[in-house]
Amino acid sequence: MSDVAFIALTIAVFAVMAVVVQGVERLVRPVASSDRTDSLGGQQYTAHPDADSGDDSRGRAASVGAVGMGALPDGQVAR
Amino acid sequence: MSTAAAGWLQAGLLVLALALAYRPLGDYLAHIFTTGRHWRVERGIYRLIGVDADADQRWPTYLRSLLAFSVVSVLLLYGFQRLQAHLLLSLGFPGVKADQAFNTAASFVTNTNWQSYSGESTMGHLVQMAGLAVQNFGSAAVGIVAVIALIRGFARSQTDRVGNFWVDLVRTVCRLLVPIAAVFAVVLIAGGVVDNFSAGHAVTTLAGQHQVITGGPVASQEAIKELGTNGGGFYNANSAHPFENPNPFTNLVEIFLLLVISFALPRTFGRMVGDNRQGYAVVAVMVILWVASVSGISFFEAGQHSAAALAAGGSLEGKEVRFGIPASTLFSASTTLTSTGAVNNAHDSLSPFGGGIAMLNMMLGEIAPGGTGSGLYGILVLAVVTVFVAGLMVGRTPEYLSKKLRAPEIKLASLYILTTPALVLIGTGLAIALPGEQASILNPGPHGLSEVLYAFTSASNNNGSAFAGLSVNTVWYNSALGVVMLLSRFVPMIFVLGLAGSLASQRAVPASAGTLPTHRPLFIGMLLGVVLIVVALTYFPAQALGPIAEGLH
Repeated sequence: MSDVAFIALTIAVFAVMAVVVQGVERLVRPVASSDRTDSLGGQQYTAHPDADSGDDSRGRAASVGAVGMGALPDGQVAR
Repeated sequence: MSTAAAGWLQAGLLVLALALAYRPLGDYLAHIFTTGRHWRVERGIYRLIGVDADADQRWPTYLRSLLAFSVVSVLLLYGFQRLQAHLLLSLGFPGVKADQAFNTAASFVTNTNWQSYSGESTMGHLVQMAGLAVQNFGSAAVGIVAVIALIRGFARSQTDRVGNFWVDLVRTVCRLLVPIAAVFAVVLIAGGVVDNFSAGHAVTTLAGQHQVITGGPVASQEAIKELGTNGGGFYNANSAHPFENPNPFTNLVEIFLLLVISFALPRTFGRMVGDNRQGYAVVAVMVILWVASVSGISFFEAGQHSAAALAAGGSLEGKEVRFGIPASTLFSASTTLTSTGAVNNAHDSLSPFGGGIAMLNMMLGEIAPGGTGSGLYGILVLAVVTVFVAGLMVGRTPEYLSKKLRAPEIKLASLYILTTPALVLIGTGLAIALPGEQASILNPGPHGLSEVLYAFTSASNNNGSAFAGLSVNTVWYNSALGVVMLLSRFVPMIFVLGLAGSLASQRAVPASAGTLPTHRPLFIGMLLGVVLIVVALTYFPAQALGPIAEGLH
């Protein structure tokens, strides 16, 4: 088989995946706010009521997570 | 000290080292993906590729970026191999033939590193360094960023943004993989792994035979090969080759590297969702499966009762004497549970049940601890299914980490679980059924089936290790396994990113007294049950016809 065949095979496999992506988008879209453009705000996962607060403190974790998960003032970007 | 005692000492040291690394490495990973600061070199890369590093992407955009990066990587690596003869440091090798180049490109971009070629007689140094090794970094990073997006899906609420693929990718490479790989490359060189640009030395052996010993930049590739759970060896013998893995010290370092990121990622998960106990629960399941696998393979390899095995103190066929049985089985279990696929012994020579466990490790979906990133997202998908099953039992709407598990989430989790077994079993069936491909099977009976089953299991789970005894360097096997590797890597990732988007879009539900605690031993046991019943039993008929039939014969 030639180079063209294997390049075409590669592109065909990824084209199939692109179709799968569209299918998954349709599956998720009815419940997602897909038209939001600036929805960077988020909130932390609330742990089970009996979560411990030892050295692995959720307070410390939350402060890191707060930056990462989008708990930032409006207009700032979370990562 | 006996070989066995040395092997078990290695296992103890390994567990200690992994336990010590769990918290700092996991926290560092969380920091990488949560800090708002960019390094100067990173800002330069973003400018070069035209990325707005401060803009988050919607999950479909994140996913399309990932797929675009991967398809371009496949095509570039394919071209690199085909043009090898015209490149520097080609060592006089011609371009890799088309079907093999396709297979190798798919293999390295998907983190599989299945090799239908012998590195020392096929690839020049430049292709190894600038082609294959670059993908060792890239493919490992892609797995990690995928699970980070999923974690953000759990942690964020009412958004469709799961991060920026390009920023996550660059940070993973610059802040995690390159620094650790560089340090451990030096450690491996100190341990005796070669690293040079030698084109080969012609020597005369003690038996009077002539042999060419090829050198190369081995240590620098060995570090990322293990760290990124890639597994593609510089030499055909992989980590059984004395230049890649010369002694028990380097053996221990290599096993540590192939496990360390995947075992630390649950800590990152716990950290990023704000409850470290969730990470402990996940890593507990991983550890239980890993210990069971190491124990199982060791038991069957040490317990052989043939005359040769009794004389040698165990089944030493296919194993390096410098490692012995415990350090070989420790490597085999770890490499097949992590999607690494590097080997320090011949898996085809494992006892039937020992080889069956190695195969089962891959069939579990590479989750204990699995590939870099892919292991964690695999077990999180299974955790979603576990919570769903538990919800069915008590009649409650299932919730996991404050997110309701509704129809879309369960559909995506189910599709994820079904994809890999379908590729394994359909691929194996085709290989057995096609008359022209039966000639590739060199062993008759159950062992021949095991070799084909192992090949498709390894490719479909992005492991890359191989049983010997199957001639896979044919157009059909190179093409079929290449397609299987691509589909089995990226189709599940599509479902994972879809799951991330679906979870992120939800409003967080506060935990109540009726919420199933997902950090307790009960949940750990249930998750183990789902892994063994839902996943492992899928393959039972195929295992029964292969390794189990051979072992009971």
